[in-house]
This record gives sequence, C-alpha cells and structure tokens, in this order.
Amino acid sequence: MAAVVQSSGQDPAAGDSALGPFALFRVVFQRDLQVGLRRWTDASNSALFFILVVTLFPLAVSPKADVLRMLAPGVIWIAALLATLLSLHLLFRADLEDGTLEQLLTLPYPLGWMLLAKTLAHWVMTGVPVIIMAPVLAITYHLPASAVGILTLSLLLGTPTLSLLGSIGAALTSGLRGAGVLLAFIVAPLMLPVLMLGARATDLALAGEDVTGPLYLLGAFLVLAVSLVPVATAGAIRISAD
Amino acid sequence: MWTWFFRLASPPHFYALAGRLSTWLLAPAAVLLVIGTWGGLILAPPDYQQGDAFRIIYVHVPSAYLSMLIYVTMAVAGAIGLIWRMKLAHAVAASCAPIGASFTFAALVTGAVWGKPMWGTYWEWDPRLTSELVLLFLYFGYMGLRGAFENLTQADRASAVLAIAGVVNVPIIHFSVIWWASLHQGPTLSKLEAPSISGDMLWPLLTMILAFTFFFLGVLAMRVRAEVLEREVQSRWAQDVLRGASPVGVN
Amino acid sequence: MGGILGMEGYTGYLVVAWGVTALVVIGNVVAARRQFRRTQARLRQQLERWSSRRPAGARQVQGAAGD
Repeated sequence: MAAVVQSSGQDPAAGDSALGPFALFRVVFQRDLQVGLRRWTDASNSALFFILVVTLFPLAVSPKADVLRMLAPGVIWIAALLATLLSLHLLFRADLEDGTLEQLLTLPYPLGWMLLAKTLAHWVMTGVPVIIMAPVLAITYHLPASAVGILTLSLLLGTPTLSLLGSIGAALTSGLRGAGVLLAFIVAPLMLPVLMLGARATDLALAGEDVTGPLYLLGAFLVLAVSLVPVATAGAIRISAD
Repeated sequence: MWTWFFRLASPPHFYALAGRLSTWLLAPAAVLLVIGTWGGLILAPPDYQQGDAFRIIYVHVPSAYLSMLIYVTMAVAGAIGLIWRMKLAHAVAASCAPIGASFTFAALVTGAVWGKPMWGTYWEWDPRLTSELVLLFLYFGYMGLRGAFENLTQADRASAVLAIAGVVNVPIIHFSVIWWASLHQGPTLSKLEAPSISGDMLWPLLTMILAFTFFFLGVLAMRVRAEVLEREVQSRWAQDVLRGASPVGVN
Repeated sequence: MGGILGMEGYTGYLVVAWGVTALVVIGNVVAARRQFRRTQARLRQQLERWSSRRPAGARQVQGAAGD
C-alpha cells in the first residue's frame, strides 16, 4: 500500500507532501475498494445477513401486514446495524496481518484522513448493498412508498456514521484474536442514537408527520462523525499496532 | 507550593497516600451512611403521593449519581493518562471500572424495585433506566476490552480511548433516549422524579450522596494501590513494598 | 411518622432496595481487599521468577521521581 501511495506522487521525503489531500484520499479509497472487491464474498456476507435478519421476523413474529408495517422501521434498522457490526472486522484485519497498517503509520500523511478513505471504501462495500436492498425488503413489510423513501434516506445518512463509529472499535480490537463479540459490544452503545433517530424518522413518515427533525440530526451526526472519529480511530490504530 | 502536587505524581508517594486515605474516607462514609439511612427511613415523613415507597430514592439516586460520576472520572483519568502518559492516571481509571459497574447495577435494581409500587411493573423503558442500562453496557465493554489485552500498557491506552468515546456519547445517548421516550410517553418523562422535595426529605438524600462519594473515593484508594504496584513492579520501591521490606504502607 | 415496621406494605421493597445496596457496598470493600491480596501474591511470584533467573538479583529500574 505504501508503494501504491508513494508511486502516485513524487518523493515525499523531499520535505513536501507530493500527494495532495484529495489525491491521497482517492488513492487509498481506490486501493481499498479494489482489494475489497477481490474478496467480494466477504463484503456480501453483510448484505446477506441483513436479508436474513429481516426475513426472520415475519417467520418468528407474524406475517400480518399491520404488524409488519409497525415493526418495519425498527427491524430494518436493527438488521442494518447488525450487518454493520458483523462486517467491521474486515476493516483492518487484513491490513494488520500483512503489515500494510504499519506501513501506513510510517507514511508522512495524516493517518486520520487515510483511515477516513478506508472507512468510506468499507462502507461502499458493506453499507451500500444494505441501502440498495432496504427498499425491496421494506416493500415486503408493506411499508408505503413515502415511508420507504424516508427509510432509505435515513439509512443513507445513518449507515456511514455506523461504519465510522464501528471503525473505532475495529481499530481498538484489531490486534486481538477472537474479539468479534467484544467489538460488537463496545461499539453498539455508541450506535444507539443513530439507530433511534433512523427508526423514528421512518415511524414519523409512516404516521404522515414531519420528518425533518430526525433527518437533520442524522445529517448532523454524520458530519460530526466524519470530523471527529478519524482522530479517535487513528489514535486507536497507533495503540493497537504497537 | 506545587511540590505537593508533584510528589503526588510520584508513584511511591501516591501509593502511601492512597493507603492512608482509604481509612480516612471509609470511616466518615460509614457514619454518613448510617445517618442518611436513619434520616431517610425513619425521620423523613412519608410522601403524600408515593407513601413510603419514595424512600427508595435514598439509595437509588446516590447509586445512579455515582455510576455517572465514576464513568466520567474513569474517562478523565484515561484522558490524562493518554495525554501526559501517566501510569498513575491509568491506574485510577482501571480501578474505577468495577466500582462504577457495581453501582450501575445497584441503580438499575433499586430503580426496578421502585418501579413496581409506582408503575406496577418492574421495568419501564423510561429514559433514566434505559440510559443506566446502556451505561452498564459501556462499563462491561470497557472491562472486556481491558481484559482482552495481554500488554498492560496497550490495555490502558485502548480502554482510555474507549472511555473517552463513551463519555462523549453518554449525554448524546441520554438526550436521544429522552427524545425517544417523549414520542411514546408524552411529556411526563421520568416517573422516578423526586416528589417536590421538602427540606426534611432533602437532607438525608444529600447526606447519602455525600456518603456514597466518600465511599467511592475510599474504595478507589484501596484498589488503586494494587494497580499502581502492578504498573511499577519493575521499580525498586515497589519491589521493596512487595517483599515487605519497606515501611510504605503494608497491607 | 412511619414506623420501621409496617410501612404500608412497602417494607418488602425497601428491604430489597436497601439490601441490594448494602450488598454492593460491602461487596466493593471485600472485592477491593481480595484484589489487593491477589495482585500482591501474583507480583511476588513474578519477582521470584525474575530473581531465580538472574542470580545477580531481580530486575530493577531505579525509578526516578514521577513517571
């Protein structure tokens, strides 16, 4: 990875960052996306899990339209959260194992920015399939079109935040073996506000009420996460890579 | 004037101080607990709305307050340890976690017990109880993360990052839960509100809160000694203490 | 003034609430003592192992003031 970054610019040791910030972002993002797509089965697991969880509820609870309609916002959002939790271990494990992560630490570029690019690539692979599948599944839950739209929008705003928050936990546990459940446990409380806002936004849409409040808050959380989380994740990576 | 502060930062002095402090904190805690209990159970008049059941406030509120105070302390200590690289700060943070978790548990149980006579059920997803439950998860996550690392320094640093992320989230979670509850329950949010509290009901509560605070600091002092020894085991003073060859606070 | 007994049938709840709190309080003290003793024992064993490996004496760092 360091080779990819270095070959994209001139010699960074010359004292001046040869790669501008956007170019750097693009390089890291593209490289991670490529690597991830080569192992697309890993990423597709989270989309499949999402579908699985959503399928379980009608079977276990009730297939009646009015029940499903009431459950839909919460169930679909919970399934999206669980799918994110399951996929988080992919974020850093491969790079830690092959030494790429340590190389990243030595590069003269801001670690947080590079991690942001990595997390975005991860979200594209794991979050976007969920967002694509969600409207289809929402229709099977008899959600009306307006609510489906708001649900998808809330997921679009919320799942990147979930991935970002998850990246902190993934970074903290990246050096630990068998830390899967611990990771979920650490990160889930942080995700609660997003979960509640997303589900409630959809509920409000279902009731025909005004959804702007929760949606703005979701947007605000996203902005907050994008600016603050990379700092925490960078710190966590440095601790784990020791 | 600052010498006492810098002496405090020296592990052997901190260790000795913690040893002396624990008795000086636990004794008043015990006395205040007795006074507060007496005041709360016997002297305070029954509430005209809730009858005698409101007396649970005298253990529920101090427990809940401690659970949050301890978490903040843990996060601040972790931050100090991260920023200034002080092992002592990490020792304090590590000592806080089990104490905080136990009082979160106490707050949840006493809250549930209060719920039964008040709402007829042992559990309501009301904002305060739900936030307490989330706080319990935060504590367990912290302790789990600590335990997962073999290297103590890594454990210290990683759990400090987690505690800081958690403490930023606690107010957000709290307000989210309040907002969420307001959609379902209407304006009366927390039914665990104190009744409009009169003076002779208030003083036992303040006494108990003070008692619990002293208690926390006393137990913290007890635990922090072990944590300091563990982090300083390579140093001369710690080895002397462990072999019993030093007058610095034995047992 | 409510007597200690017969607080309008709330006695059970009060007993449980105070009882759980008392257990937590006592439990904290007991656990703290136990933790200290266990750590002490473990660290002593660690010192034994170090000094048995290096006959010159246990590993030491002359700790300067503070950290």
